Amino acid sequence: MTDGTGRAAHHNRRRSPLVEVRDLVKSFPVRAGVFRRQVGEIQAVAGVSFDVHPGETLSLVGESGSGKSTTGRTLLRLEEPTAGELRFDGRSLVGLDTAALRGLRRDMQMIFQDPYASLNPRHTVGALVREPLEIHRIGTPAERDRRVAELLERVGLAPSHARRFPYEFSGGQRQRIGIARALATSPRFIVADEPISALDVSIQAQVVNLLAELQEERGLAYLFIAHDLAMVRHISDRVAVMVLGRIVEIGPADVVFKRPRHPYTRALLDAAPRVDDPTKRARRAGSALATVPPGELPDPADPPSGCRYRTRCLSATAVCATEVPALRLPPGEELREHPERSEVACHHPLA
Amino acid sequence: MRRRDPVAPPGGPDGSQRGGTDVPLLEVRDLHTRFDTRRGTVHAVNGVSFHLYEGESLALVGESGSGKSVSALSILGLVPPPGRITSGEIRLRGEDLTGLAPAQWSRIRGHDVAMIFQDPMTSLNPVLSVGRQIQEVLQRHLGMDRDSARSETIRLLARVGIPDAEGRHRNAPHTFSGGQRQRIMIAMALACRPQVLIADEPTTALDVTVQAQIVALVRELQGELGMAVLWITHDLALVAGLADRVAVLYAGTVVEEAPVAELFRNPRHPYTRGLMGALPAFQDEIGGVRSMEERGVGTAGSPTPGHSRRRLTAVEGQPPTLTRAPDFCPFAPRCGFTTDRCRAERPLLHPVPAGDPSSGRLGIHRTACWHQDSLP
Amino acid sequence: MATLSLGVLAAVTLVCLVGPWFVPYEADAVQLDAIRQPPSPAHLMGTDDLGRDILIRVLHGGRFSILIGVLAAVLGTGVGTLFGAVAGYAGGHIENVLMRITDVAYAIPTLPLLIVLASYTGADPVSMALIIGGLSWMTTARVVRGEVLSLKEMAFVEAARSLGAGPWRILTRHVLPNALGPIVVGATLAVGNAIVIESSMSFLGLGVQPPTPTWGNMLMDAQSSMTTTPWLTIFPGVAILAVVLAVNFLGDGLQDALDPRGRER
Repeated sequence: MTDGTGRAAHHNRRRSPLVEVRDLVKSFPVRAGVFRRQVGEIQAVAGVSFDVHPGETLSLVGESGSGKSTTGRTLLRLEEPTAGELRFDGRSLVGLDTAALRGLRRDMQMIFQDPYASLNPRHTVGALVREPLEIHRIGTPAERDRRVAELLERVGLAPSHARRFPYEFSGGQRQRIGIARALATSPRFIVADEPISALDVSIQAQVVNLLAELQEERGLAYLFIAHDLAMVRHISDRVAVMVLGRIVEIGPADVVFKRPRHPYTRALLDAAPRVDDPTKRARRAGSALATVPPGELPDPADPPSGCRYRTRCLSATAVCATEVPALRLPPGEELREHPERSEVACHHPLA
Repeated sequence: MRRRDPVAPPGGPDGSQRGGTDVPLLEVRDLHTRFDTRRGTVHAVNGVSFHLYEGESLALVGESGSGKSVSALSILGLVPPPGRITSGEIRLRGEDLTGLAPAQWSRIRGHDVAMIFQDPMTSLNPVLSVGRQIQEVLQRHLGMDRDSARSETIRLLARVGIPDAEGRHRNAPHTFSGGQRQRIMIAMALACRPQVLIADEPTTALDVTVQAQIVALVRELQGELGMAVLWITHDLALVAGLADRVAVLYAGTVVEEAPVAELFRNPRHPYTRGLMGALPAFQDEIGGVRSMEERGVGTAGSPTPGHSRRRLTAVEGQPPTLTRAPDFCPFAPRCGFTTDRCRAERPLLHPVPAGDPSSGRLGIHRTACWHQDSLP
Repeated sequence: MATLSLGVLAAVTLVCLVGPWFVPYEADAVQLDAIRQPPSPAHLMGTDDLGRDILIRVLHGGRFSILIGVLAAVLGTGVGTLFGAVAGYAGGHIENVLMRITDVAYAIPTLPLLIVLASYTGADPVSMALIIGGLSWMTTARVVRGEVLSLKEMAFVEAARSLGAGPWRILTRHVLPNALGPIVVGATLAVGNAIVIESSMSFLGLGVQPPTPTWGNMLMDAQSSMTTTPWLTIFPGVAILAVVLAVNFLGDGLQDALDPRGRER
C-alpha cells in the first residue's frame, strides 16, 4: 500500500518486521605463522541491529571497511554470524539445519554487485534463471520454462534470450538476468549488494526504475547496500549509515539527509558531489572540507576504542574513547512525530 | 630542462578562470582514433575537438564507450595497439604531437604533460620504494642530482599529504592505503610541474570522503602551479566542483560543450538531458537547486509532479560500439526527438544562443543536435 | 595447428583401428624368403629380420599405444580430478590429508616403480594403463585443486549458495564445468606422455614383449641395424613422433580455445 509517494506507507512499520537483526557480530580470523594460527580477528560487523519491514527499502550506506556488504551477506547466511540474532518472519536464522535453511532461501534472495562474475559463464541464461526453481523443486519442467520466459520478459529481456550465454549481454542486461533469477522463487526480501555500482550512469537509472516497479508490484522488501548517496536518497525509505562495523545513524531517508545528527553522516554529505547554484558553490568551496577531516579511516583490524569514529571526529572528547555510544534517539528527538525520528550513536550528536 | 616557477593563480579581472592569453595551451582538432582488431574495426574517437587554456579545467564527461579515455590517451600517444590515431591534430603550444617520434615523446610525457589514472598501481612499480620512483623522475627529466632529488621528493610527498614523508619515502607502495597511493601518483605526476595534467577518473575507485580530498588537493595544486587540468570522468555531478568547462562525449563525439554553470542551467542536447534525468543528484533539493521539473527541463516520461521520489528518467538502450565512422547522429537510436534528418546527416557542433552572458568569457556553449532550438 | 593435429590424430587412430583389415599380412607372420626388404609396393614399409611386414606391425603397435595412452590418461585424469576437486572444495583437514597423499605419490620415482610393477603383473595393456595412469594423476590433482580453490570464491558460486544449492550441485554444475579447461588439456597431454612412457618401457624390453609389436619394442629390435635397414627404425620412430607431437599441439590449441571463451565479456 502506498500513499501516493511510491513508498510503503509509514503505517507499515507498525506491522511486525520481516527481518530482525539484533547485535549482529561477524569477525574474521587473522592467521599468521607457519601453522597459520589465529593471531587476532577483524570485527567486520561489530554489533549491528535493525529491522526491515515488509515492502520497505532500507539502505546500508558506508565507505569501504564499513561492514555493510558483510552485514548483507551474513544476513543471508553466506557467512556464518559470530554472534547475535537474525530473524526472518519471526523465525530465527541462526542454528537452522540445512533443510530448513534451504526452505527459507526461497523467501530471501540476493542481487550481486558484479554483473560479470555473478553469472556462471557456462550456463545459458535460461539455465541460470531456472536454477532456483530446480533447487527448490518448484513446478514441472514445462512450468519452469514458462516461468523463466515470464521472468525474462518482466525484466525487459526477450524469452528467446534464454538460449544465449551471459557473455553476449551488456552489464545492464546481465544485472537484469540476475534480478530475474532472484525473483524466480517469489521471495519477500531481497538483499541488493551494490547492484548498480558497476553500471554506466544511464543504465543505473534503468535498473533502479525496474527495482522500484518490482517493489510496488510485489511488495518486496529491500536491503539496499550502496555508497552512492544521491541514489540512496532517491530510492530508500530508511537509511542506516555504517562506520567500521557499526551503525551510527538510522532513520527515514529524508530526515537523515536533510538533518544529519552524526558527524560522519554530515561529513559524507558534504563530501558527496552535489549540483549547486554557482553562488552557493563559491561559498561551499571554502568550507566544503571543513567537516571532512584529513587522512583516512583507521584499519578495521585495529579500530579505536569506544566510538570507532572518534579519531576522525571533530567533536570527539574523552568520553568517546571510553564508552561505546549506543544507538538511540538524540535529545529533542522524542518530540517529533514517529515517522520523522532518527536514531544516532554519538555522545555529541549534531543539533 | 626548464624549471618553471609557480605562477600566480590565473584569472582575469572579471574572475574568469582563463589565463591571460587567448591562444589555447592544448588544442585537439578533429581527432579520430580507431582500433583495428581481428573482429572488426572500432571507431573509438570520431572527430573530437576541444581546447584547453593555460590554468583552466576542462572536464570530458561520458559513459563507457564514449571515447573519453581513448581521447586522453591519444594526447599522450599512449593508445595501445591495435589502436592508432588516424587523423586530426593535437597541438601543445602550437607543436603537433601526432607526428612525434618515440624519442621525442619522453620530453613531453611526465614533463610537459602528465597523467594520473584510476588505478595508482598503473604508475607505481610495486617493488621499488615510492621515494625512489619520484626521485628517478626528477633526475631524468630535470637533471637533478641525487640529494636534491631526494629532498624535493620528500617535500612533494609532504605537500600531497603523506604523513611522515621523511620516514616513509623509502616504503613500497603496498604499505600505503588506496587514497595515499593516489596522492603519491599525483606527486609523481607533478614532480616536473607540467603545464597540463590529465586526470583519467582518478577518484572513481575511492570512497567519497577520500574523493573529496583528492579533488581538493588537485585544485589546490592547480592554483599553485598554474596548471591546466583535463578531467576525464563519468560522473556529471562531480564536474560541478571540478571544472570550469565541460564537454559531454557520446560514441566518440563531443555532443555538447559549455561552461559548467551554463550546462547545468540550460542543457541543449537530448543526451545531456538524459544523463541529468538519470542522476538523482540533479533531482534532490539539498543545496537549493530547483528540481529539473520545476525548471521545465525534462525528457519524455516525467511522472507525477510534486513528487520528490519518482522515477528517474532513464535513457533506454545501450551506447553503441561503432564499427563504422558515423555519418549520422550517433545518439539517434536512443533519442526521443529523432527525425529523418538526424538519421541521415551527422550534426556538427554549433553555438547555442547564449542565455547567460556572464559565462560568455569562459567559452561558448555549443551542441551537436539538429533540434537544439526546438527542445522543450 | 590444433585442428590439423586433431585431424592427424583422428586419421592415425582410424587407420590403426581399421587399417589391418586392408593389409594382407599378419603381424607375426614370418616370411623367411622376404627378410629385410626395403619399402616396396608389396610391403609399403618394408620387412624386418624375420620377414614380417612392418606396416601391419606399425598398425598393430599403434592400436596398442593409443589404447594404453587413452586408458592411462582417462584413469589418471579421473583420479586426479576427484582428488583435486574434493580437496579444493572441502578445504580444512580433508584438503590437507589429500594433498599430503599427493605429495607422497609425487615423490615416488616413477620409472623404477613401473619396472617393478610391470614385472609383477605382466605386460598386458590394461595393467600397463593402470600402472601408468596410477602414477600420473598427481599433476591433475594439483591443477584441479588450484582451479577449484579460485573458482570457489567466484561470485557465481556464491550466488548458487545464496539460491540454496548444496555442495554437490555446486561442485558438479558450477565449479567443475569451469575447471574443464585445464582438465581437458591435462588429459590430452597425458595421452602423449603415456605413449612415450610405454614406448620407453618396451624399448627397454620391460613392457610388452615380442612378438607382439609395439612401437617401442620395434625400435628395440631395430637398434642394431639402423644403418643397414633404416626403415625398421624410421617408421615406428616417426609414428611415435607424429602422434606425440600432434597430441601436444592439440593440447596447446585446446588450452587457447577453452579458456578465453569461457571468460568472454
